[in-house]
Amino acid sequence: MNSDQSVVDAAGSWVYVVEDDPSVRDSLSLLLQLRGFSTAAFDSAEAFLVADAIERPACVLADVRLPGMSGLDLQRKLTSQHAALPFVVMTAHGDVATARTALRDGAVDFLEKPIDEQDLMEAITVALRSDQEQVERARSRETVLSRMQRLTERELEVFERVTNGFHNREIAEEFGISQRTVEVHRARLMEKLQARRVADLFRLRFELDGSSANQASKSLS
Amino acid sequence: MSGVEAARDPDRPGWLEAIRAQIAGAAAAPPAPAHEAQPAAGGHDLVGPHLLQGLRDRPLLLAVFFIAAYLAVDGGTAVFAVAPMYSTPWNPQAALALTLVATAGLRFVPAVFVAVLLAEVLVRNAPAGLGSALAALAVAIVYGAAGYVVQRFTRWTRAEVTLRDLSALVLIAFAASLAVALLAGLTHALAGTVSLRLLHIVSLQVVVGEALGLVVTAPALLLLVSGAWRIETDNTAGRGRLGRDLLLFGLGLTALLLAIFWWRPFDQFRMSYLMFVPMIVIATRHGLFGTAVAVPMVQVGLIVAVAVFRPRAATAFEYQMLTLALALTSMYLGLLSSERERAARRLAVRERELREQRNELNEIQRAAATAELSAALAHDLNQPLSAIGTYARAARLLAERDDADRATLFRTLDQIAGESTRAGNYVRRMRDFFRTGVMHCEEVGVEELVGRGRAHVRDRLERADILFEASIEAGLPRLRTDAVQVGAVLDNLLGNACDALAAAPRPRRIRVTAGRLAGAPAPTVRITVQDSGPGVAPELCPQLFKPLATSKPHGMGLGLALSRSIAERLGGGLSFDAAGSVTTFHLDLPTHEL
Repeated sequence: MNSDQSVVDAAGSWVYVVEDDPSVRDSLSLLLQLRGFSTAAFDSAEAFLVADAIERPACVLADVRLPGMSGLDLQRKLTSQHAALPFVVMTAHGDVATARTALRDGAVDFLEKPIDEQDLMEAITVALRSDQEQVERARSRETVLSRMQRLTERELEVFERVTNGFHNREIAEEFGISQRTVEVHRARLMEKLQARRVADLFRLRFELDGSSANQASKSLS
Repeated sequence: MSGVEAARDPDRPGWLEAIRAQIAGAAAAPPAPAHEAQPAAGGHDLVGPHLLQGLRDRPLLLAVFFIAAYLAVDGGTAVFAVAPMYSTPWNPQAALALTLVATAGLRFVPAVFVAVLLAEVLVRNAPAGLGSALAALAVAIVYGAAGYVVQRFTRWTRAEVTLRDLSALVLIAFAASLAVALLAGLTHALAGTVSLRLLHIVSLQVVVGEALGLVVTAPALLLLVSGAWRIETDNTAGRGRLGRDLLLFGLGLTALLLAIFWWRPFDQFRMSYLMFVPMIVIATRHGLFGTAVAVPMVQVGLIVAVAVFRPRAATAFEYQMLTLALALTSMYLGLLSSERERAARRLAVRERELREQRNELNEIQRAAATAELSAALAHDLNQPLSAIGTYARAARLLAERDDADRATLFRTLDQIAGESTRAGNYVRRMRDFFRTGVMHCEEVGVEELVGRGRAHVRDRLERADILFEASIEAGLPRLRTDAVQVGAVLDNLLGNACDALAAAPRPRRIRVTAGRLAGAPAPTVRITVQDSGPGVAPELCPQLFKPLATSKPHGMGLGLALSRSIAERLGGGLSFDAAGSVTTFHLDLPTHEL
């Protein structure tokens, strides 16, 4: 696969190279830059962890064997700190056990050195696409949340009951208000949430629940 | 699942076979709880009669055969029969009866009864009345019980005979003989043929005659008929030469008997003790089975000799006692010889197994060390190769651009060249590690070499509490040699010494001496490494310098074979001093002095 054909926009994407061998690090950075990616290189996992800001969409390309914290440890740490930043691991040992551990912990791909450029580009593309999707999901969730902020307390309650499958009559009984009032609340909240049908409400609810289970987007700037 | 169901199930033929085998095994050899498991005996059919193979399934024929043999033996051995109880000096027919029951089962007790009764009537001219029948029944029951006990509680018919089994057989023989003698005496006393006063004297002769017949004949018969003799002969020193030795024994025995009874330089009876000599030879060479066959030969020979020459000096009874002592002594001696041989063989097998396991382990460790090393080398080579590949792709991308950034392109190409140098360095380092390439000669002092060697094993010296003594002759020239390679050889020698001392008694000592080697064609320095360990086993000495002879793999530690080839490539030599009282290795190195 050629990077030109990929859906990922290389120009705005970041690849963080974590590799202790200076030549390997330098050559990878150079190649990725020539392919249009923005790169930042680190000689250890610790150096990467103290780096200031992580631009998104991005992915990490890290060697398994690093001085100090290993690439696999870094991967685990990132999963808890940085919003499931997609991870591609490399190794000079064709080591099945390490590969399995990395992939089980959620690595996008496992590359063996000497690294084949095509494999590298494919792995980076997949990683970046996955991060882009994450970013977009987070963004749309933020949009939904900002619309939700405009709802009154009662409207929020009605939204919750409606998306739980209650009828207007039941909601009216519960809150001790008339069915007519419930209908008014509903119309208002649908207007505020830019929902045209009830089905849209369910979709919003699903989107919120789905991404709220995933704490990832919270750390996004 | 029941047996019937299993039989119908075509998928489970193995179960049925297994259960059949178990049923057959249980019938042929009931468990004897006190016995240890039979050690591997080379796939012999341990259970079931061997000589009786053809008669096994024809009990009637076997019974007839037995009765005929019983009568023939009883008639044939009826020499010196002492009236009125017809006590003979040797009753081998008792052994026949015991063997029949022990190998073919209790259902043959009636056959024993018929044989005993017929023998009483036909051979001993007893009245064919109810009294004789009752006496014969009692005797048959005694023989049957003896046979059952032998089969049930000893290993004579199925496995290697132990001291316990032999003693058990002797005890059974005496108990059965005592019972038979009492029965015979009582029968005759009741019939009025003997007075009650004489009873004990006559019975003693019967007891000894019966017991002798059992002790002399039963071991050989039991082993032969059950087929267990194959187990016994498997593990004897003179295996395969039993027939020849028994023939020689027979000839020697005849000569001895002729000398004792015919030539007669001294009193015959006292001369008879000479017969212990050939018995001891057979017992030590052929163990229990050889003795078991030889003892009846002695008995037959003695009876023939006594019958032919009719010595005056001793009675048949005294010869009975002599034979009994001879039979018991040689049987026990033969048994001990068998057991000793078996123990030695088992030990040898065990040692071989251990050695094989150790060798296997060494190979595995060697392979693991090699795998680890090659993984490390692959890693080191992969890094520059990976960088070269990536730089090359980048260079191509740079070159393809219209606005080619020539400076970056050149830098990238330089990087490629640099990385290839780096890869080359790795390869050279690897070659140096394996020491197959060029030598790096440098000047180095002997003290320095010994000091480095000591430093490398310092931890081990301290841990094992080993004294390290070095005495280096003053004024030795510096060596022009590959210090790394000589160091590897010295490390190997010192490591071996530490290994040898690890389990040695204190004080543990390693002595390194260095000096000029007098009488060498070229100026040579000899470094001698000695340790106070247990020394090298003599049988190991010839293989000491062969590859893979080492029993101590320490990572990539060089074996003595490699050490010697290094020493020889450096123009010197490595030798083991077999004459020394302590383990001594000499490392000779040329000084290249002018």
